[in-house]
Amino acid sequence: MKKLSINPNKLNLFLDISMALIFAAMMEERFTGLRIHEVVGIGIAVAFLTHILLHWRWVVSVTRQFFAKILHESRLNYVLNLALFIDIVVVIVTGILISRTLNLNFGLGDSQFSIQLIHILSSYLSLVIVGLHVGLHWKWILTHSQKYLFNIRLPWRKSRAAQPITVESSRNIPQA
Amino acid sequence: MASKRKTTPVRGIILFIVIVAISGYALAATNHFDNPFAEISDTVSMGNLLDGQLGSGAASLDTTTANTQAGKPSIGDLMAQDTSLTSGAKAVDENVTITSGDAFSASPLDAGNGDAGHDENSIQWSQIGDVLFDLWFLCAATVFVIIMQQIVGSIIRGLKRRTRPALAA
Repeated sequence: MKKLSINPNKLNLFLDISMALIFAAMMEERFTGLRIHEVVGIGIAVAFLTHILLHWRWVVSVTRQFFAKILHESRLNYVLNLALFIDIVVVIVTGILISRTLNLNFGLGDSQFSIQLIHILSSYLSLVIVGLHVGLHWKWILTHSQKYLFNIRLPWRKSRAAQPITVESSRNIPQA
Repeated sequence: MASKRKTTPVRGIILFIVIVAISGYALAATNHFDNPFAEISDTVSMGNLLDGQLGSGAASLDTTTANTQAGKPSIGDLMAQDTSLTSGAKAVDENVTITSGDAFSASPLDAGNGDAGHDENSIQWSQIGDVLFDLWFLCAATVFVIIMQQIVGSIIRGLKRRTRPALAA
């Protein structure tokens, strides 16, 4: 039987790009319409969970070393990722609570409007944090996009004969 | 033996920054530039105002004002209306009424869209500019991080250069 092998970096790259595109579309409820916004919102919650599971080793290792001597960037990453995690959970939970097309009636009454405001507020905040999250990983995105998306030699890259290896991540632990 | 060396694709980065700057200008020119920080502050203010109104008894919102930004309702517009209500002006058109005893039934984002016949179950391609703005914002944040990394990196390198000779001496 043929063994199925998945390149984790490739999987991460395609999942992350898809998530970023869907996230941008989800931010604009007027673009998607409420029904699609809510259904795909549930889908992106699953993708978000998958993203965390794919980076679980990074989460565990950095959590263990958080108070030990680690690089500042890892620490900044960790704090930002924690903030993003909390924010996305708030967006998802409030989104489910105020949903109108998923036939989930939670009987919120007066608090519906407050929850809706929290949903809007946390979603705007998530745009800012996701922007910084993407920004902090630009090298990883650039390297792996060149490798798996645009398998071309870009003009600013010198020939491999002159320069054998460039920005290749040698770490076993994938970045979150 | 092949040595591992980190390189920074400077030309690529400059090209990326230029593309982000040009696309940002294009988005601003087509009225698709919604600062999320302003939206956050507006949402907080709106929440505070409405909390006050709900607590004092009743409040009403006029939600029919046409929006200036490509049909997209802005929280700032709702805020402006809300402020006028608190100053004593009465709402003319009461599509949405919030009272302390009623459940809120309409989304603030649904209000005042100026988009007649908005279908909640289909994609509105006329709003694609707002999606492009969100994608642009992700790229702009990346540019911000790249620039900050270069600045902070050069400061740290400069400090290290200064401290090394001092330590050696």
